[in-house]
Amino acid sequence: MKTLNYWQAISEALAEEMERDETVFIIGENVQEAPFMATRGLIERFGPDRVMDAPLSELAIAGATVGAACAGYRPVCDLNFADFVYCAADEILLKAAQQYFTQAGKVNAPCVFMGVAGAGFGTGPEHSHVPSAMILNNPGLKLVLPSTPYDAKGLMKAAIRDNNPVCYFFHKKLMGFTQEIPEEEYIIPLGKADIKRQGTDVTVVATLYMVHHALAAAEMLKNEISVEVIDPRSLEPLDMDTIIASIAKTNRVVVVDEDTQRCGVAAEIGQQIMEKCFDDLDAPVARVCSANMPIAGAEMEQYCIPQVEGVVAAIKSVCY
Amino acid sequence: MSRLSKDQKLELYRMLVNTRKHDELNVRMASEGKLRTFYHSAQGHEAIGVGACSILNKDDFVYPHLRGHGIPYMVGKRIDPKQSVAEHLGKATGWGGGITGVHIVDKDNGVLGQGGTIGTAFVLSAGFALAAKKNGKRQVCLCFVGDGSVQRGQAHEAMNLASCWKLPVVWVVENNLMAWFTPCCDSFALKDIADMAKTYNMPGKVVDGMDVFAVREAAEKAIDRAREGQGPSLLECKTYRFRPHSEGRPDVCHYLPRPKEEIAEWKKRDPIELCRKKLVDSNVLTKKLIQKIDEEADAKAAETERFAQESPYPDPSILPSLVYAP
Amino acid sequence: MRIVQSVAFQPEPETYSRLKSVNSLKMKEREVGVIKNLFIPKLGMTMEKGTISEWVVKDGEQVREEQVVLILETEKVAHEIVAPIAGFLAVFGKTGEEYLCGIVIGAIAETKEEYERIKKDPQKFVAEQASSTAADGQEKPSEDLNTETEVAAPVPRTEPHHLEASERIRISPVARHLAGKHGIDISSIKGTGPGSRIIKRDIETAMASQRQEPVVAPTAAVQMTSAAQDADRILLESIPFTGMRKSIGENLHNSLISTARVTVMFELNVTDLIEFRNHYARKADILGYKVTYTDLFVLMVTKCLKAVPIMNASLIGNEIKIWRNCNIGFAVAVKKSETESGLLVPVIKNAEQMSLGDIAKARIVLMEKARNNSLSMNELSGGTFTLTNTGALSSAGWQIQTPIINPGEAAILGTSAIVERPVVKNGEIVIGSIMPMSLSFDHRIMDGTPPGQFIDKLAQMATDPQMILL
Repeated sequence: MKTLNYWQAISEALAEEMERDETVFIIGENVQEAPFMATRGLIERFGPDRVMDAPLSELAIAGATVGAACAGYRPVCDLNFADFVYCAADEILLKAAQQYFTQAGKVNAPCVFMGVAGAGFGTGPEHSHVPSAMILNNPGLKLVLPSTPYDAKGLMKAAIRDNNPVCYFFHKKLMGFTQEIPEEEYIIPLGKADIKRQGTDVTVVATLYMVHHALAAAEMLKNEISVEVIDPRSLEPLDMDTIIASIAKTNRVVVVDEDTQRCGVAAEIGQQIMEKCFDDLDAPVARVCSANMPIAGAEMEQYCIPQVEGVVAAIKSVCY
Repeated sequence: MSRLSKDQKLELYRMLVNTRKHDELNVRMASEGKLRTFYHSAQGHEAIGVGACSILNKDDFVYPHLRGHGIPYMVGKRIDPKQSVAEHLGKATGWGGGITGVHIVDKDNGVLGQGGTIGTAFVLSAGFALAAKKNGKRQVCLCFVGDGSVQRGQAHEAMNLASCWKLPVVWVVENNLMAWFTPCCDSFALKDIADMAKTYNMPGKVVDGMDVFAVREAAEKAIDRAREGQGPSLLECKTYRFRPHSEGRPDVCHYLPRPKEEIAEWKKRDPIELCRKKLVDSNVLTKKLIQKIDEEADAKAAETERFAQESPYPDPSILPSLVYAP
Repeated sequence: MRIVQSVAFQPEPETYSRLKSVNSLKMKEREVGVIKNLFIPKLGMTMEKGTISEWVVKDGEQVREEQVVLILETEKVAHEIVAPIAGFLAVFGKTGEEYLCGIVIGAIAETKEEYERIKKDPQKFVAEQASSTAADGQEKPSEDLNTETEVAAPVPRTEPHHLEASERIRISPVARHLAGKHGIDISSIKGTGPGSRIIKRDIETAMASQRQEPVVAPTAAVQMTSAAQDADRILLESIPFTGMRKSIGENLHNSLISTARVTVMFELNVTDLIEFRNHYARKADILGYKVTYTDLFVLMVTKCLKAVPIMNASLIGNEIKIWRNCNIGFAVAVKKSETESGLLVPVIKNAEQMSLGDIAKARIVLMEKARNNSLSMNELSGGTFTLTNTGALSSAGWQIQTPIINPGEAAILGTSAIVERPVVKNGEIVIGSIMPMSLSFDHRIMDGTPPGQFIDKLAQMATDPQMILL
């Protein structure tokens, strides 16, 4: 075993995949220096032909990613901020997502759009999103949200090997989080949830940094409420079976998601719960999400995004 | 033109006639209500796709322009266009399996797919070219766009990126002086789109888009350059669309009908007639041969129509399987 | 009152509560008898109000039954309202005024005296109508009706299909499910959730209180402090009684204490059944699946249940519900983790519509899911009869058992390992293959006759498998 932090785990996954498969390359803005660390160190190992610093042109970068993917490569497009999906929406949400469908299954676009996501550093309305719902609204894209270094590595390797465009958003707040990583290679298949904490009274579904909020809340409540924390790890594909099995046991559920509440991930998961295991519910599905407003920056940020206290309150609200 | 053999010249002419006949077929079927989608006629544009694609290798990439929905490019690349018509009838034998009725794909012949929103052509073709540059197979990408596409941001991002990285891509702008209903004179700050190439430090050239030989010659030069690793080029082929933006739409400039005299003036330089005249003048074409080529093209179009009509619709149950690749 | 477009009085099928109210309304009309009030009927889904276009009959005039008394106008169309009985018309509503649906706008009195009484104090009459309808707790005037009208007499009448929130039983989905499964009458339970919602805990409490006194009273020994007990016992391992283990335990215990279980044991000579089964098992390569004894028993049991339907039943509340379809559960032992193992009972639904092959394929899918721990709730519920096979549990021959009936079912069949025994055949002792069986049934639901018939039917097929094909 070795101890790696979150970005080192991602970087190691990228390096291993680039080593294994020469069609894998990285394209993006400042991917050589890597302001968000995840691609750091790769330039020395693989050179500028495979770690390509591109102009600040998200449409061109994303479009070239899709084009190269269609033509036989497995590019990893580093958007830097996940928010920049908005800048490259045409190419990611229409072209990448729909390539396989539009071309009648004859051409697919195996690529990864990675970006650092989430709030926590007061970076304001345009650099703090986890734009999950927007991605999920465009079938054809997969969405991976790793909450730990172990998951981050195994999921990145699966994302690169997937034959579809995969959005891989990792969280700013998790950068320094360390964990023991096996020496031997491992891959975590997309669509397999992980039970991050066992419990019997209430199920909390959360991804990315919200998993840690859920775990903190569970710890705070451990003497009164036994909380089960489920991390789906990918929202498309989504492992509803694990969620349903947990609810069959607990009969109560809170969905925590960092994206905007309205028409969001929690709404979708909540609805699926009602469709698939209504008869197991003993309380209405509760959700904790970002407020329906732009994400404020600096000091005001905390009033827009989910906090541990909010998760605790939501858990209590369903455990009557 | 002079460098071409008699057979090459005749082939180009045949391609033009074939393209026109198939376009006319689509136009007729659109008016008959048989097409299950919209259709943007390529009439007036034929020389560009045919001329430029005729010099490509089989494994070179082509990103088709929307006009003719692939027909001029497929014909130019020596691909049977009958699947275009089948696609527009929504048939399973269409280029896109009848799934979208619009988008075309022929992976084996380097047509990796065509998008719906314009401008995307620029960035995706840069991606094809990036792959071509990486794989060392000396492939190039020929990408056809309209003048409207150049007005989108992707055009500029792609030209800059491809020029920086010397990607083997040639952008052929089919400038028919009209983006939808808005004329270029009101929507471009410069006279010639080719001049944009200077900004991105690559060759730019204005070409007579009605003259198949001129297009072929200019394209050949740009493609050779790309194949040699010297980077992208921008060709602006001046042309004119003979029909409305899409079938069944009023043919207007802004909101008033396009002047009949203007259309008549451009039709004097119809790319097919222009080519025919040149070949008749140089004794390559005879009256008899012209008739024979027409008859062959008519027969081919009839066969295409039959093929499309008789083909089955796709099985809708396959749709969910097309969302994600296995 | 009766109206021309009687369709408006047809209860909407989805609204059970409305049906109930409408019925009670009719009852009341019969009781009052001599006076019938006229109110604005709801003549269609979207109708909220109507305008009195014309009183065809004047106040105090005599009318025949079925005679048109007034014309009512809605957004869409004019309706003729007819007299429900013959009598004297008392008019309250004004021509040209608009009224909400349900508002009383007039009445027909059978006699002149009744008419006079009504007219003397119309307010009182209408108030009586309102209070008498409110008295049964089904129909109370709601506040906002009639607020816009200025007519003196008419008072609001509720639309019959609106039940007060307090009358609806608020219950969580899982509580409703659990109550249904165990036959708990939810109307007698007081909910402890928000807004007195009945939640799972309340049903569990009700189930516990429904149980009789504990079967075995706690003895002094059991009441010993754990410290005293632990003095002579050395702990090897402490396994949490939680999760799957706990839910299995509680379920089985609930079944034991809430059923009148009788277990019948019998033996069947399955010598021919073995060959019958092996015939299919040998064809596994061609079929793509292997037929097991479980599959054969699912098929045979289904046929038995069709012959003896009372065995395919549930006791819910005060009713024995006999099920049309046969959903056969079969017990599968699973290991969930190192410390957690248990029993899952996936259910083959609608087995009566399935061939042997269908059953085998369904069983294979369910077993695979059971092993992967991926069975859905749906696949684990809805059973009507259960099979449990203990054949593999002991090589020494686990023969006799007393299976516990799966909660919500009427019976369970336990099968054991086949053993060789001497049997008498045609007056001679030969070796026969014998399968010991145990059939538990709930004596509350049935007496001994149905299980007897069940066993006979089963024996018919198990000893002579050709009979299965019939």
